[in-house]
Amino acid sequence: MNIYRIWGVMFRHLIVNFRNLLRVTDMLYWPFFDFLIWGLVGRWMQSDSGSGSFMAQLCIALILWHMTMRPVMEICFGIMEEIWNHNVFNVSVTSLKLSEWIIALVLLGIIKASIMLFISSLFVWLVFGVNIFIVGWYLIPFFIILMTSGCSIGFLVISLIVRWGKMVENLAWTLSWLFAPLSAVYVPLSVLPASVGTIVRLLPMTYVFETMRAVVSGHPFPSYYLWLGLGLGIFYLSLSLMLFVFMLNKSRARGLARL
Amino acid sequence: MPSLLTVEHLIKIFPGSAKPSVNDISFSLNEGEVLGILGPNGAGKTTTIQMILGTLTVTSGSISYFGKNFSRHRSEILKHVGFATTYVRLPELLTVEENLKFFGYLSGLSNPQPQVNEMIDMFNLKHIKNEKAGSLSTGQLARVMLAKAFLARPRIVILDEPTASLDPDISHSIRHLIVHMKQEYKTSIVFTSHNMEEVTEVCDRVIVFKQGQLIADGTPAHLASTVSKAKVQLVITQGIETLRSFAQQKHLVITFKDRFIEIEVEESEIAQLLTQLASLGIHYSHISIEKPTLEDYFLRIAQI
Repeated sequence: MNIYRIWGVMFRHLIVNFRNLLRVTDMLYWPFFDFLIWGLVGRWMQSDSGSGSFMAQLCIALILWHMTMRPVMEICFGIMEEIWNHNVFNVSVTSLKLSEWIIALVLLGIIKASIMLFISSLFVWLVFGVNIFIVGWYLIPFFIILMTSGCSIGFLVISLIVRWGKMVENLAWTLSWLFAPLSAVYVPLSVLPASVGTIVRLLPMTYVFETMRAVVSGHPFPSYYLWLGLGLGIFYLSLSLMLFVFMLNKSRARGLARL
Repeated sequence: MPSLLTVEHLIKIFPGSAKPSVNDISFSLNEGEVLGILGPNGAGKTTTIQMILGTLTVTSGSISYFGKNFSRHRSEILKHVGFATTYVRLPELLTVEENLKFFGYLSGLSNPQPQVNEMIDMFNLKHIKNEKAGSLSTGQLARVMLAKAFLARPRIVILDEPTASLDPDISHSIRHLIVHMKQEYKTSIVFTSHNMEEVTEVCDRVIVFKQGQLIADGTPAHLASTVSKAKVQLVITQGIETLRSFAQQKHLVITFKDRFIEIEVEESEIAQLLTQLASLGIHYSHISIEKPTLEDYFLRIAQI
C-alpha cells in the first residue's frame, strides 16, 4: 500500500471537482434543489397534517439519502472520468494497485459526504429550521452504514460499466436511483407495498431511515436494527467489491484498451 | 547482456475466438537496447504490448521483468516501466504540469515536482505547462506522453507508435528525444511503429510478427539484407558490350536502359565488382548505390 499513489488519485479528482461543471452541479445544485422542493412540500404538508416531526423526518431523510449517494457518485465518476478521458489504459499501466484505487475513491466519497452533511445540515437549519443533530450520536452509525451502502451501490454500478462499457452507462445511473424507493427513504416501511417488503428489509439503508424516523418522532425501535444494517452493509460491500474485481478481470480478458 | 524483459511462449486467444491472436511468441529485451516490434496490421503487435503491460490477460505463457514474474509482482515491476502512445489521451481538465504530477504520484513518487520540472525542461514543455491537456495539439500531447513515460526514471519504456499521425518535423523531434533519453538514462525501450525509416533509425534490434507468430529477429540491416541485394547504378561511358558478356558469364542480375545499368549484388561484393569493371576497361560517369531497406523487407513479408 502506497499513500502517494492513493493521494495521486485523490489529487486528480479534487482538481477536476473544481473544474468540471458536471461535478459541481452534481455535488451542489441537484441536492439543494431537492432540499428546497421537498422542504417546501414538507412544510406545506406539516402545516396541513399538524404532525410535529414530519418536516424534520423528511429533511433529515433527504440529507442522509444524498449523503449515501456521494460515495456512489465518487466511485462512478472516479472510474467514468478515466473512461471519458480515454485514460483507463494510462492509469492501468502505472504501479497503482486496484486496492489503492478503491481506497482513494472511497476516501473521496467519505470526504464529500462529510462536506455534504455539514453544508446541507446548515442549509435545512437556516431555511427550514430543522436541526439534523437531534438524532444525536446515532448520526455516527447512520454515517457508517450509509457509507458502506453507498460504496456497495457504487461498486455494483461500476462493475457493470467496466464489464460492458459505456453502452450500459445510463442503465447504471438508473439502477443506483432505484434504491431510493426501495430503502424507505421518503416513507416508512409500513407504508410500502407488501410485495416489495422483502427487498426493502434486505437493504441496509432501510434500517437507518427507520431508526432515524423513530428517533426523531420519539418512538421506540428494535435495538438490533442498526447492527442488522451494519452487517448487511458490510456484507453487500464485500460482495460488490468481489463483483468489481471479477468484472474487471473479465474486462481484462478482452483488454482494458477498449474502455 | 542481461535480459530485462523475458516473454516465453505467449499465447492469446480472445473470448469467443478459436484462432490465437498471438501464437507462441518468445522474445527478450536486453539492457540498454531499443527493440522494435514490426508487423502488418493484425499481426499481434498491439495484443502483445497490452499483455506485457498487464491490461490484457494472457491465455498461456509467461512474462517476467528483471527476473520477476509479472503477474505476481505487477505493481512492483510497473514502477520501473514507462509507457507512451498517441492512441490514448490524458485527463483533459488537468494541466500538463498537473498531469505529470498525477502520474508521478501514481508511480509512487512522494514528491514528483523535481522530476516534473526536469521533464518539462527536457521535453520543451515550459510554454504549455499550464495549458489543459484537452487543449493540446497532437504533437504537444505526444511530447507530454513521452515526458510521462520517462518521468519516474523507468528502466524500461514501452512506446506504442509514439509518432503515429504526427507531422514529419514533429516525428523527427520525437525520435531525437527518444534517442537522447536512451543515451542519457540508458533506458531500454520497446518500440512499435509503422514507419520503417523510424524503426531503422531508433532500433538496435527488430522482431517481426506475422499472423500472431514471431517470424524474424535481427538488426534492421540484417533483416533488410535477407530479402534484397544492394543495387549498383552506373552510367556507362565505355565498354557496354564487355559488360554484357561479363554479366552473362558471372550470372549477374542486371538491367540495361541505354547507357544506364543497374546491377544487383551483395553489399559485401560491391568493391570487388567495381575493381573487376575497372580491370575490364569499363568506364562509367556516374555511380549510385541503393542499399536494401527495412521497408523492402516489410513489403516482402507482407506479400508472402
